Amino acid sequence: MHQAIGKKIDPLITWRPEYCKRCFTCINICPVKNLMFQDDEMVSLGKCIQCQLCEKYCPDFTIEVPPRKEDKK
Amino acid sequence: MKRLIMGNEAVAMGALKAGMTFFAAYPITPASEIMHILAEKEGEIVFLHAEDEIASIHLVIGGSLAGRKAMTSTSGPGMSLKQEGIGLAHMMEVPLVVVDVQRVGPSTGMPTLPSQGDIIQSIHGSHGDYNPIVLYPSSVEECYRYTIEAFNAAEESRSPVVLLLDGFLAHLSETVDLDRVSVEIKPRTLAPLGHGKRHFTGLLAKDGVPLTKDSLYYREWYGRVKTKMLETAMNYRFYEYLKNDQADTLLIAYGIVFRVILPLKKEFSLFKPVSLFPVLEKEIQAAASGHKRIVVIEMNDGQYRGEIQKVLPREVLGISVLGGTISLKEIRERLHDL
Amino acid sequence: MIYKDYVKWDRMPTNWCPGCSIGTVFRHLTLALEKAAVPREQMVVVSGIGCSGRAAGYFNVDSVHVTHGRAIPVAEGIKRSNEKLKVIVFSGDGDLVGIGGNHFLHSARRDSDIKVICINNGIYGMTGGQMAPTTPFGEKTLTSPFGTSYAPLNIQGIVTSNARYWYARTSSYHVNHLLKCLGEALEWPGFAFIEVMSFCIENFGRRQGFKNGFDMLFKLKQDYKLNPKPDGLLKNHELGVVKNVGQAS
Repeated sequence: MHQAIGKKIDPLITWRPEYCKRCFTCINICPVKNLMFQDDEMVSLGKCIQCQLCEKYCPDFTIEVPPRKEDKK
Repeated sequence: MKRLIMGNEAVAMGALKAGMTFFAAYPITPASEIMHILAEKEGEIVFLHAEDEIASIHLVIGGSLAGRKAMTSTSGPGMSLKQEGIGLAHMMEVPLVVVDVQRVGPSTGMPTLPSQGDIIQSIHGSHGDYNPIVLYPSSVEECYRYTIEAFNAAEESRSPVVLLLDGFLAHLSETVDLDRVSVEIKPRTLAPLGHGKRHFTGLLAKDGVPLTKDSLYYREWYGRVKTKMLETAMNYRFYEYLKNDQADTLLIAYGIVFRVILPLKKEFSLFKPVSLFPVLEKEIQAAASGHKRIVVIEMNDGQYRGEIQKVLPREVLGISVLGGTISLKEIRERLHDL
Repeated sequence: MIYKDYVKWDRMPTNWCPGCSIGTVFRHLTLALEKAAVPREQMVVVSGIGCSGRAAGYFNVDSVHVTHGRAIPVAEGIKRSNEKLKVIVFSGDGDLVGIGGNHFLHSARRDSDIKVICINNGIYGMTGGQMAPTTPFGEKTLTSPFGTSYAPLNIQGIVTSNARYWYARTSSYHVNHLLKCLGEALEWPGFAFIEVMSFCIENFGRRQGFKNGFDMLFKLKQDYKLNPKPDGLLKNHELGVVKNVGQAS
């Protein structure tokens, strides 16, 4: 079986509500305070700088953010 | 070729014959000789002198999971420590052989003297319900033969099989020709680790997914495992029955005690179970039918007598030979006094 | 093979509490495996009992979940039985150095080729928060209601007392260091021990006054400092790698 597809809450951010335990680690770790919960749904304020800290610290493979273009090479 | 061989040595040779290539144990009187002999085979087999008894049984579980026929040896105090691993091996269905050379207990007891005190421990030592196969040879040649059979039973049932010995038998030297013993050797049944996605767990699990709160599944699982064990055990029903048409008393004894009372066959019928567990219900009932009295003679306080009493709807008498010394004269006198 | 191939997705979400950092370590181990390109058919994960012990079942590789404290001997048995397998032990501090302390001591001495990842949260989390051998001095737990009166176990001291050793202390906050350590451990030919400083929010942190997992994660950032080139052994509150390639004497 494959990973759940998840929702695009932002062109950059994929969030998988099936795995999310609402621990708020991503919200707290985000350096630009981009993420928040609204009615039990994660929303993005569109400020994502693709630092990927939320993805790195998420204990449940819930968030995915692609790396910045210049980081890729 | 005929050779003078000790019981422990015959166990080690039987294990090698059966294709055992993984051995881990901790030294303990009177089982250490098995280790000594197998230590010299290091290189041909994986030999590990573990840091303790618990480690040795778990090393053996790992060795067996990774694809080798595996064995450990111990005595009563070590057997008590190994119970955790034996329970785990029953839960994960890992084939392996545990040799228990019994000595007088409880605890350190009388380390150098023989006993048969681990009968109940070998089937009920670990917590929970399980139905192990237990074999108990009574001669050096049988030590060799039934070590091989123990490996076969372990492979066929995918469970830990206990081979019981006593300190007497383990150190008994007899001239035997092991080349003439022919036993079929069963191949491995458990696919070794390295498949990619199997999960072995000590938890109740279905296809690798733990189901720790499903009572109905537990009943289904236990029924399946119990049936598997009892069906496999049907292929491993070893015993010896010396019927004496004049006798009105049937003596049941196993291990070294059977050898000691063998001269009594002129006066009594003798029955020797080699497969102690599961109990040879039909064979014992059939042997008991023509006899007025049934007497179980053993070097413990009636552990196997209780098991026989469960399958016979009549009184079973017992003679307990305690303290590690056994003499035919004493048994004869006590039979007379019964 | 990418890291997602090492995860059993049908078993997600894991049974760990919200905010528990075991998941972070789990994730970084899959990343390290991706980097080291370990084939799934040539590795085995063994774990014992406890929260972190459940990790074995979440790996999409052959895995073994054994009784309390016995992960190291089972792993060693597997490794000695089949040298081709890469054997990883993923378990907690209570399991590996508490009840399994003797096995840890001797497997390290025998320098058996297994990689041990020890999630050190300083508490017995799964059973409700009892004192562990790694609980800091003076902490109140269920079994030390007046504060522990013993010093925590010096794991580094035990590993480094051998002639040949590889020991890393890292934390679940310092994830880049964690990833580097995991990668290095997978390459090390011998007994490698990674102590990942971690936390238990539900059964330890709440009693100490932490509100959520992130608060404890931030505490790790404050408490621990990286030491890329340690002079001798690591001091308390230092993270780094110490190793010695010396032959067994």
